[in-house]
Amino acid sequence: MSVPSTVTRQSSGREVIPGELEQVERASIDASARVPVLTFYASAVFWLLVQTVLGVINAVKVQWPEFLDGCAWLTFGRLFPVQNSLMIYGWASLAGIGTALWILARLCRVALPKPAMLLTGTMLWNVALIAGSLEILAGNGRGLIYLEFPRYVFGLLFVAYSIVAVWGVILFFNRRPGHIYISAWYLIAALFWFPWLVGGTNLLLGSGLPGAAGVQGVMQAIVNAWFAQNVINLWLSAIGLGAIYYLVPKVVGRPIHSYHLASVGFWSFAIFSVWTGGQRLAGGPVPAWVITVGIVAAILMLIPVATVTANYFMTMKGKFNLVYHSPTIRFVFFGAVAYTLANLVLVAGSFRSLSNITQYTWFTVGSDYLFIYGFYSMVMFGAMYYIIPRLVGCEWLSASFIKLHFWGTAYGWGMTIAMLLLAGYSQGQMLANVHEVHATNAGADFMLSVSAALPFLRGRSIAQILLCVGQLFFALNFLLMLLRLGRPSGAQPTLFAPIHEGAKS
Amino acid sequence: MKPTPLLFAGIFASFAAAWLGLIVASDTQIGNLQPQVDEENADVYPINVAGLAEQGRRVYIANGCNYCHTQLVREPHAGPDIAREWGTRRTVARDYIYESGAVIGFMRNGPDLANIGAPKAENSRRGYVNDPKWQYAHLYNPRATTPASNMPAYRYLFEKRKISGERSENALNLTEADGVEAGYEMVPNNDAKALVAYLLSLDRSHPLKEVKGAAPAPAAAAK
Amino acid sequence: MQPGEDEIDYRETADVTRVHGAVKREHKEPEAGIVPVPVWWFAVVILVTFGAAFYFGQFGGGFSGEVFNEREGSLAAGAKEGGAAAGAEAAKEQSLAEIGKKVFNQNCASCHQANGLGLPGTYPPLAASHWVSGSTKRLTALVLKGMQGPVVIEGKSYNGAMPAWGRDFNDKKMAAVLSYIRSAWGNTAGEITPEQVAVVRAEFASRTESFAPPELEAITEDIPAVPAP
Repeated sequence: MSVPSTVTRQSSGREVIPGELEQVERASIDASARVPVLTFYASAVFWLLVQTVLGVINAVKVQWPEFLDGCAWLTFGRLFPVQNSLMIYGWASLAGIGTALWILARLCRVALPKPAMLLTGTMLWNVALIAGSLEILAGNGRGLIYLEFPRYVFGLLFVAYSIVAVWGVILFFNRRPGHIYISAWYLIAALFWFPWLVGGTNLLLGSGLPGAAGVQGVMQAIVNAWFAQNVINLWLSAIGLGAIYYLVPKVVGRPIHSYHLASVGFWSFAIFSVWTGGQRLAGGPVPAWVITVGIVAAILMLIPVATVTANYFMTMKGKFNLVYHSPTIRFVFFGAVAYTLANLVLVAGSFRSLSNITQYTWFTVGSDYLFIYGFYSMVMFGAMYYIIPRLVGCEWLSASFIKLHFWGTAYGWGMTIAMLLLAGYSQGQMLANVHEVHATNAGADFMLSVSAALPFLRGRSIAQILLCVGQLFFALNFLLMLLRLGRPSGAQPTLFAPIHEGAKS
Repeated sequence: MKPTPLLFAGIFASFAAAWLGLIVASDTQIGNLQPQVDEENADVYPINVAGLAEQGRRVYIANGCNYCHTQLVREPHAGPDIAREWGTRRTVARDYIYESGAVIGFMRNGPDLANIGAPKAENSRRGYVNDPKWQYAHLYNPRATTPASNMPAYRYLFEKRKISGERSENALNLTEADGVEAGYEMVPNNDAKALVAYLLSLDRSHPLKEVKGAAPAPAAAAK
Repeated sequence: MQPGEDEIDYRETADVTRVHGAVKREHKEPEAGIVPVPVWWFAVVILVTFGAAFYFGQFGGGFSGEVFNEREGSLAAGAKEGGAAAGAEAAKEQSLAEIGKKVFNQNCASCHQANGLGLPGTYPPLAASHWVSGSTKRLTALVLKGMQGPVVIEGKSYNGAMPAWGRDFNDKKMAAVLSYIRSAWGNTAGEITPEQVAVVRAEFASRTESFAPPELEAITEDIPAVPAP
């Protein structure tokens, strides 16, 4: 499957110069990817809005329990898992699949064959998400973090995913001869790991209830912890890192700094990240080595993180002003910094001296959000700002909307994460000591931990509202693009501020 | 070697290594635990809960109790769980062989429930009470029993009905001010009864061989 | 919006040579530079690996499935020893009758019922029965070896078979269940110690068949008190 023959048909009768042929090839790839990738993106943005609104509701519920209270479908214990699942499988996975398919098509220099067929996958995926959310709300969730959907919903997701995977495989095996660029390694790995991860864990877990053909109690918790950390590492982070490796050199206009660093970075990532997860059960009823292996793997993850970070920064060297100009680079840069930070927080929070305080508090949630929102989602926004103009054939209408989106998101998620980490830490501080004053006052001592977290949880609610506003501007801008109401394409993309010399987006 | 097979082999091997080394290895170690049987004292622990309590576990998970309540007790050096009377010893894998892994939990926005059904000592500092009536009142309105609690109210687990004959044993102490008119009573529905039966079945104080250095049993601790 | 010179409307024309601006201005597909891995990278790897290995050595728990406390340096063998001691200590806290109640409920209650009243005509009662509260030697021998044949108990006649429990119960368990039935349901007879059970067991060690009721009725004496070892 290569460039369709129509390309060589010259309507204007002009002679084709080599650079132009490359452009034509890209344009035909983009044309083939337009319908499926935009459908993935549109679904992703829809679920992003849903889970952002759920995030506001849940944040408020935690500090004000009477809010939307007393109804089974709206209880925190059901809305929170719905939000979790839609965050992973709704927003993050769909945006990731869209991005991965487009980048793979570009790197393999192959147009997507029969793109309309991919829509079956998108539709099935969306059906699974709706069914799963309703099942959780109706009280049929499994209560396992990021695996809340009932098992049959994962069956649907698996089938939908297989359709996507078939296209990934077709692209890869029809690729034009030549070196396989580093982004493709990450994307191929992610596409390969995800089904194994989801399929394998679901087979092991059964319905999550005892006696339903699953593994025994504590093993379920181990499998769940391992899954939760690795759906972030092997699936989301792998796509995110692959996207950064593509976008940074593309926008900056120079090769990635070092092939060798990229190579050792990828392999150390592949080897170490799979072993993380045990640290999520620190202090729990799990053999000590399982937890320790998770902590050790988190420490070893510093190797790929240092490598990847160094590679990005060396590539960007001297071009950091692009963060000021280019929306893509600004989001991606935020994501890259957050990735390093997220791993540092993970390592620090894994050590038992700190995890005795922070484990089983909001800190864990903050740490997850730092990966999923702070790093991954920001990179996905960067990728969407880059890819969508190429799919719809016009430029983002409003730089101010992008600016509002960036600041709403950066402050919204930044504050949410910071507040959750702080809430978790202060909650844990109170839990780590029994205060003698309350020796006779049953339960009052525990309540200290609740009230210690409260100011931060209030701050988080405000941050979530800010975030909501940012996402609304993004959704609006995205909708305008879908309606092709953007600026006409030209020599410059929509930038925060004009660039005068060579740099382009 | 060609780069593509190497790439696939590497991606496959890295995943397979961790799958075997972490998941399969730990499953062979603790995936087939049997209850601890003490022939001498004719003692079996843990016992699989059945009937109402089993239904209650489903209610517990369906309503996401496990997102804010853990069911695990840590070593004294890892946290004051035992000092808080959340248990008399740490919990280990064998405690959960008949449990869903989900109940181990993720966050402690509420107190740990590993031993909520265990009898409590005098002058307990535990914030919850091992008594169905207290549990019902707390589920219906957590702030009635625990001021400043941020637990959601589970009013949908209760139903209002006309008193026919005698007031039911489990009816909540509510007045007209709470929306329950004279002649009516607020009673827990089946889900609430199952949930409370499950909660009160949670007692992981029984001594286990693999737990060392802890008080062996509540009876012994009392002496 | 009018399509400009540099644009293309993909819906309306297959002429993709007039590619739109975004594709036209784009840099070529990315490549990687050939810069060797720097020296500091190896330093980072060595440092991190050493740190990780040290941490694992400290808290690895010897890869044992029975070590839950990461501060336990010892391996599974040591763990088992300590565990057995703790278990035995816990066992001492229970009285004979407490243990006996569990033994009774697991083994005997299906016939004699948890309330000790038996089933009239089929299984004789244990509450207020002179077979239970009477001679300790007769009771012990009966349960050790079993009994078969017609018998009249507290005015009702039975013709069944009581199985022999001597092989299933060791001395302690036997003493426990006997002590329990002698003190439960209003019975007030004294305890039978494991040492006393051992005496009776030794006396009838060679016997393989069950007792007939008349044989047992002939035994009226109690087991002499045996000092605890």
